[in-house]
Amino acid sequence: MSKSNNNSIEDPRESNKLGRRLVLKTGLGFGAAAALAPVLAACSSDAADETSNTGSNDTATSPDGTPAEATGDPIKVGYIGDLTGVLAQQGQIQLNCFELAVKQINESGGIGGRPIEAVTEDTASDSAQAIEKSTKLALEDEVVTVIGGITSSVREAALTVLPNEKIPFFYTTFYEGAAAGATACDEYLIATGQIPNQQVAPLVPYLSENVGKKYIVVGNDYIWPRGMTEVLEELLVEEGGEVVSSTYFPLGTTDFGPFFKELADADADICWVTLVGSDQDTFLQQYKQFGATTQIVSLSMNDDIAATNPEISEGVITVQNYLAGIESGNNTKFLEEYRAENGADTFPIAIGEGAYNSVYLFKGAVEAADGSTDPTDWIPKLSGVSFDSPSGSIGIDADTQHAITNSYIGKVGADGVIEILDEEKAVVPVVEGCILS
Amino acid sequence: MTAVDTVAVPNNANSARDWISGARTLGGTGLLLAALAILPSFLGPFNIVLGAQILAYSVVALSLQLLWGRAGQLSFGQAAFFGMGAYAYAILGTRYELNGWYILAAALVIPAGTALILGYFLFFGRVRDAYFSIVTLAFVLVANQVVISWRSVTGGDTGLTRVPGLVLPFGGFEVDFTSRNGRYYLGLLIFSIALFVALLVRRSSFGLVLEAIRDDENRASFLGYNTPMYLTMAFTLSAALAGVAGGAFASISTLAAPDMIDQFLSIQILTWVAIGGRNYLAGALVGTVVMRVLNNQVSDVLPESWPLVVGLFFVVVVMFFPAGLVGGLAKLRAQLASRRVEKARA
Amino acid sequence: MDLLFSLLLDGAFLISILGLVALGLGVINNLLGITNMAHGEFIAVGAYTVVVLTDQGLPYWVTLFIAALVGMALGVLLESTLIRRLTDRPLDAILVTLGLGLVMQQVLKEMFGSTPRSVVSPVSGTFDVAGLSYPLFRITIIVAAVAAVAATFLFFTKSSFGLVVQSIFQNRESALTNGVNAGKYNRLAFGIGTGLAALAGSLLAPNAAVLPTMGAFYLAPAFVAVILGGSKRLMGAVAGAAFMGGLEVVIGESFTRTWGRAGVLVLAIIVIRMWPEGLLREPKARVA
Repeated sequence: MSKSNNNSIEDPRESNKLGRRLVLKTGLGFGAAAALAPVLAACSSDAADETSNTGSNDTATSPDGTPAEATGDPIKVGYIGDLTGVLAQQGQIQLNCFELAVKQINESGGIGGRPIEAVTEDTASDSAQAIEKSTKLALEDEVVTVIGGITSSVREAALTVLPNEKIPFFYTTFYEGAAAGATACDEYLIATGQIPNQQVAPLVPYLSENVGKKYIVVGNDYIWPRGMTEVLEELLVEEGGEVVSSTYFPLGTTDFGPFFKELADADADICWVTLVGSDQDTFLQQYKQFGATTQIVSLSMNDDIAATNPEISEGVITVQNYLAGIESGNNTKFLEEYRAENGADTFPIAIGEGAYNSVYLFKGAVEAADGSTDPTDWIPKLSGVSFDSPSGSIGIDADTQHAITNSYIGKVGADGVIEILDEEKAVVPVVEGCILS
Repeated sequence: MTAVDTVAVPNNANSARDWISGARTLGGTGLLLAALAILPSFLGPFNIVLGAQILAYSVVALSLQLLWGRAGQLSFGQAAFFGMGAYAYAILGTRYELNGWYILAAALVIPAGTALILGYFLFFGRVRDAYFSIVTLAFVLVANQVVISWRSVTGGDTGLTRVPGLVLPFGGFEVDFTSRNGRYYLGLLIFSIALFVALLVRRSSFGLVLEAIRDDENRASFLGYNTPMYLTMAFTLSAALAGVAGGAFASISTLAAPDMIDQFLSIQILTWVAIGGRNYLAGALVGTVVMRVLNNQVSDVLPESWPLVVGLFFVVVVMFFPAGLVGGLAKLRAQLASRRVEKARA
Repeated sequence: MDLLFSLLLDGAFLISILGLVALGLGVINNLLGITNMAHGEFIAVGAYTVVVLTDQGLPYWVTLFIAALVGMALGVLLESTLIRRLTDRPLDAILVTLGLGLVMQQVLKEMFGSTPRSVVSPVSGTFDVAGLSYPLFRITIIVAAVAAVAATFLFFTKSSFGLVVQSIFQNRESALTNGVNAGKYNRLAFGIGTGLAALAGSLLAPNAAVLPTMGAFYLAPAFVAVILGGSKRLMGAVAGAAFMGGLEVVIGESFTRTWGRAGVLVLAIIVIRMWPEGLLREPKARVA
């Protein structure tokens, strides 16, 4: 990836081939993906040299070198997410990141000279409201794309509306992929969060090497935790590990007491936690009280939770496509600007970085489509766009329209800061049987 | 609109006046439905979809109004029947190539049958009032858990998506409710039917017995009425309407999801009826429209703190309009009328 | 053997929190004849009070009392401004408290954000019984909850104030016609009810995530517990909570955790249906 080009465009056909080849070679997508990452980066950078029309550093610069204010007809982009209800905090961070990207783009020339006009809607984690708001964004505001979404039910609800109106939906949260009948393969769905093979596959070999191979699973009783357990079990066959027991609690559980007896009896190396929202906090709190010492691996741990509640989060291992501790110029700049907008002690999280990236990927694709906001023009260009995101260079896999992201394995320190232990570059998403290109 | 109001039906009303009031109700209802029928020509595409949803929601509000306003039994679990209808529709609609009438019938019969059994079990066991409300709350919590856990059939927590819209065959030709306007007219169609049923109940002896039970159940049973049976019938009818509303909602929004069958929606339905006025048929529609539109508008402007505004509005309306908005209007009208009479006398 | 202990302790923990919540709800329900739909938000108020005060360096055990007092003061305030006007309109009270709950939840969110907060347990360490290691802190919570229930019970049965309240309990109409100043008693009863909810929240704070919505999880089971307990006995709500919490733990252990919660509700429906005589003697205020 050439450093001067943040948006690089390549021939879509070339990228399609690449995407398929990567998937075939990587199987479940770990290990080999890292080896192929330089190839991917090289391709992008070659192509970038051919089409430098997007300019460098995301900015259309005026002749004197200062960024130009966007002045053309606004491009309407919708945000939809959980701004009220149990997931309000994640939703708020997601929105903050989305707004930051919009602000940055508008201050530096917009999309091909046109500013982005953001329309924000709350789903309140409710399917019916998600349908109502997606419909409003599509028919009343006439946005050209929608970014956001946290819960699976809101994603599915949005996907019953938006594709019919030919409006692509950028879903920015890590989720269960094609497990259990979820919609993961749709020409109007673009996912910038990770799916199980991207989250779990890089993590398990690390754990085998550094912690152990005997797992006990505790999760919420719904599709994402169960899907993650399935993927874990498949991977453990190769690794020679096992899941000794798995227990699922309903969402909103306030007492995990019964689990700790199982944990004590199991003698496992790793306690695999797929509890979401406040259930994760409650669990960690009680875990500490019970004096349990098994290594916790929690897939929804993030910097915001760790920093707010360091005493219960300490020692937890997680894997995310974004952690605030990533050391790169881009991330430093991102954190700085995020905090300038939202307060000094705040943290962006993976879901939010996904939303931030989505805006830039959208910008890159529209500019590559010569400014056309017609999805039939810009969606095919997406796979050719690569964005130098806060978490490193990312792109969109042509077959699945899911992001090829980096995976960061981190561990929460005593001060609530997540220290990065290991990373896996350019992990390719695997959605069985999904060939959109 | 005002002609749809319930006025306490006097027991031995003058038959001519009764006839006039009946004609006025009919005329008012006709006008309302005609206005709703031409409304889409004045609405943008989004508001047509919103209108379709509100009409379907109004039907479930009407169903609660029947049980609560008419028979005096408040259900905290009306969404259980709404959701059953939605899931019955979605499961049959996505899995089988069935005649639209059968799917719609299932959305009616399954909730109604469940309510018949539950109502028989409860009302004949003298479960009433607060106890009934809490049982319905427990029931909707259980129903929600069943829907979330029974993944193979219900799709678990993401529900069933891409539910086909309703197509109803009439002899040789068929009416397709899948287009945007079609969805609105499906909402209007079931709303009209539900309103007709509710009017019929209000004017029938069945409705009068329900009101008698509401006012004093002991007296009604001394008079020889089998009150548990009447309550069970009211509960069943209410569930049937709620189920059809759910089926229509699933067709309109092409989705059946667990939050269509939970306690939060049940409480929302309750608020629609309360804001509109639980003793007024028009209250169901007015309350649903006001709350849905308010919810929609405020959450557009204040996506992060709209519940504050909705909550305050709710408190204010209940404090100052105990009979709901329609009740408040009716009272105001009565006051104006009496003032006019006084003026005429003076 | 260790399974039995684990069931007993888990059950006792669940029941002690739920019992406090249900007791508070029951006091308000039985004395004022209204259902407090904002009860769950008072749990959150108690928990956030602890979060704020322990952040300021106050010892946890002190913040417990302050939290209960804050919940009580807020309850008295609401009673004297809004609820007072609704004692003859029990149904509207349901609706108003519902709206208030929404408002309180949102205000808490504006004040504290919606990232779950936590409080460090003041007692650490575990003890071992029959091969089972159990946190000491949970035992102290159970003891604290039992003490609070006992104190409430003594207050209502021994103090002169409580005896008047008891007479209102037994027969609201006759007590009121005998010249009891209902306003004062209503206000305090409402305050005691919300204070108990806040106390439950403060006990919960070091055990669970503190969020504006945290009370929602307890509200429905507490309603059912109050109804199960009946309207005549003050401690009925606690008995109802014991039924709900105890069975949830047992069913959860025998089947799945998810079914523990649903199964106990099904049983509650059957119990309410099967023994309505015991529960329904002279039904209190009608809901409709």
